Amino acid sequence: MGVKMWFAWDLLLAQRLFIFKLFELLQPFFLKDILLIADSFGENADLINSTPLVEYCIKNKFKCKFVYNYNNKSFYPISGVTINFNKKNEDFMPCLFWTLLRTHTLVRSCTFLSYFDEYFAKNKYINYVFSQHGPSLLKDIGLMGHKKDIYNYVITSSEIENQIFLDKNFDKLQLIPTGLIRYDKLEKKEHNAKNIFIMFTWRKYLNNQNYYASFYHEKICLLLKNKSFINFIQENNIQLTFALHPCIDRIKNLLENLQTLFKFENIKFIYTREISKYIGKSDLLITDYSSVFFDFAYLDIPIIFYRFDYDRFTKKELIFEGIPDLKSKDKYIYNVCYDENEVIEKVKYYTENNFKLEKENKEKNRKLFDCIEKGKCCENFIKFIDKTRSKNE
Amino acid sequence: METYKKDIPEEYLFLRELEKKNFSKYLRKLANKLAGKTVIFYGAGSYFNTINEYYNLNCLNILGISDIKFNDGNCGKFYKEYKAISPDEIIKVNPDYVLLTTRYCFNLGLSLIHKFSGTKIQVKPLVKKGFFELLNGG
Repeated sequence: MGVKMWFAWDLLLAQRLFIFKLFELLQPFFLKDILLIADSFGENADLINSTPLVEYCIKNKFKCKFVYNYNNKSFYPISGVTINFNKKNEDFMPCLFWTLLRTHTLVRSCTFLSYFDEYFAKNKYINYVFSQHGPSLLKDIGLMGHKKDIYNYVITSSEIENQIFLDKNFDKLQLIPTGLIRYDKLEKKEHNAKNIFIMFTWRKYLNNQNYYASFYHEKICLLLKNKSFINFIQENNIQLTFALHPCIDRIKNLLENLQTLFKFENIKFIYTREISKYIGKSDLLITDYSSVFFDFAYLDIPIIFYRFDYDRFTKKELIFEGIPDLKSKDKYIYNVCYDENEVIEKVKYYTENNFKLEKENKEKNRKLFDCIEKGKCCENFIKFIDKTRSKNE
Repeated sequence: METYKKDIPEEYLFLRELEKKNFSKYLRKLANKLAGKTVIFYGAGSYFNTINEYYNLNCLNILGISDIKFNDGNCGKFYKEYKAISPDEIIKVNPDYVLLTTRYCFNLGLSLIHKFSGTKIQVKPLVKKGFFELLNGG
């Protein structure tokens, strides 16, 4: 019984450890000429992908490989560059063994949340860069699992953000202040209709609760069923687009149920894998503290921060959700509301003012991106990589 | 099993899986194997909550439960009826076994084995895993 109990576990662990050891033995003998870009492997990687970097590398003949899920419709296979990967994180090393032997820099917009993070961070031949899928500001990076030794470098966008990492004992040399890779593709697009985009971030407590019985769902319903809000939206021909957080995606039939629950023409529910189509065409964002707000702030699109459940959290729950210091960060943003009536008043204000963001709020937006040269995030990132090409060169 | 909360889909899924694996019987065998040994659970999420609610884990000699959420001041308090231990404190507590109580634990196991290398601490899953399950990240 003792031998059988953990036989499969011990055998597979031994196999995996052998692969790591073999990798380390072979690494010195391979030329390091690949920039390996490996975004989230889910199909919903639309918003967080590094495709602008891939396109930049191809255009400027900088050798790279792009690992992504071919079901992600935001990109397309390119011979010699893209690698289809639709497995779990733990298969990354064995499946990409030969590519990793030639890799000098590994770029990920999500950490592996596993052994691989520290493994690649400690590997002496690979620079492991965390490119982030949203700048760090409102959430506590320590509580979100970020420590200085789980990657070598992190891409940042502002002095405020740099200080956040330095306060968590990151080294200044670990910070790459060039701005997120995807910002090179962000632009406002011409559109005729008035569009309000709504997206709220996840709540960890929802993992242990019936979603439909949650306060989260109740507050969303209160907003979207508010008569004054609905009437205003309809009278002004405003299109509401509500994006479901990826974690909510797994609740069966949620999108269809919400479509049925909120049956009026001006509202559409979408999955996050479609988000990037809507950002440039939006006139206003309603969110709570989701890092999606940065993309809208980058384009000076007005934002309303609706903290519909903040006052219900205990101190312990705020820590659990990763937002213990949220209120202290309000000085960096604007339009923070705790009540749906406040939100509706703000929506009316911006609609009547043609969705123009105030000068003082544009100034606040500047400070969120004061390290960036607009349109040159990829270029400056590649320059940085060139300089720090090999840890041992 | 009639008492499971039907409106929490995850819990229902977990309980079905545990039933298929005959977890009650496995738990008794595990208790025999680990008699006289000390144990810390690792993973204080919904999977553990389900196991803890529907199965009696007191047959094991449990020193506490660890999870990354027990960093930053939450360590030393209690989670359910177990002492909350920060992952960085596990080596100090020095259990014989760390039993993984997350649903997908292979990668976590690798990470902890690396962390505890050089110590006597063995890292194993609480719930029995087969080959194919582990190959799929289980």
